[in-house]
Amino acid sequence: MTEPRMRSPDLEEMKLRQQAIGEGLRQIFDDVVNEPVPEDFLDILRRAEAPHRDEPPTGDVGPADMGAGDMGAGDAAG
Amino acid sequence: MSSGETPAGPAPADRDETFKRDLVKLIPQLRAFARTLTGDPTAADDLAQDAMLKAWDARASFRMGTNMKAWTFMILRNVFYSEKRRSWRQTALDPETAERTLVAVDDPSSPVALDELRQALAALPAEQREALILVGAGGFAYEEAAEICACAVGTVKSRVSRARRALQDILARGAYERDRAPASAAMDAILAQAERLSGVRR
Repeated sequence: MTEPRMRSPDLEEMKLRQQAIGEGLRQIFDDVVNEPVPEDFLDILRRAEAPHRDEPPTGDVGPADMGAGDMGAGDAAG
Repeated sequence: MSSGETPAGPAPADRDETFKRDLVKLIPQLRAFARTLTGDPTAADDLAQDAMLKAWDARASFRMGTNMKAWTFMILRNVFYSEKRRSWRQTALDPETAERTLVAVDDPSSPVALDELRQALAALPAEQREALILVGAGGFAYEEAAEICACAVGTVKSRVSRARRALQDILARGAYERDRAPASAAMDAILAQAERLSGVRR
């Protein structure tokens, strides 16, 4: 049995297919990138930031910059 | 006179603010990478959130001005593998899961049907999938992808090329099964003709 040799038209076709696959991959990725970010993400980040500010200091812990007050700000970046 | 000021860089509060702003900008990318790793939107967001928190907690170790995207992707990948949420590590995604996550994108001008490509992607071994996504969609250089995956550049290159070939095979097979015709009808015709001309058998 003879296997068809890879001729240049086949190579060409393969290249085109790979290009199409590449574009498809980028689109799949970008589709998610372009989705609106669920609010949870920003909430979680806000909460992660909060310990500096919300928790009452026990004893004398805490750096001097504690309470630099811009709570709730900074989430506008889309 | 506050002791918080250092001549080398911004004060910690400013630094945190900048860090946070940059991190927030990367969330969409993290979600996309997580989605391709897990194949499941809910699990992916879970993973992306964990990674985001880990990045936030580790912000002191991030060197401002270096590639934050690569840094956060590395964290996300580590979280994904270290937690071994289910047995995702080496295995391909469950086809049913992959199918459920399909988002119908009906674009006839699209050269590859995206839902099929998603399925094919899900069928790849995880290490090939991540390498291909990082380089082919995430915009990373091979060197950066190698750093993110903690492997050699050559390894990334070979994973990417194996992944590309595998995708092409899977898609061709899928087209065959769906249409009951080979992906390349032209090739089929050529083969049939060759057989006729050679006149062997019959």
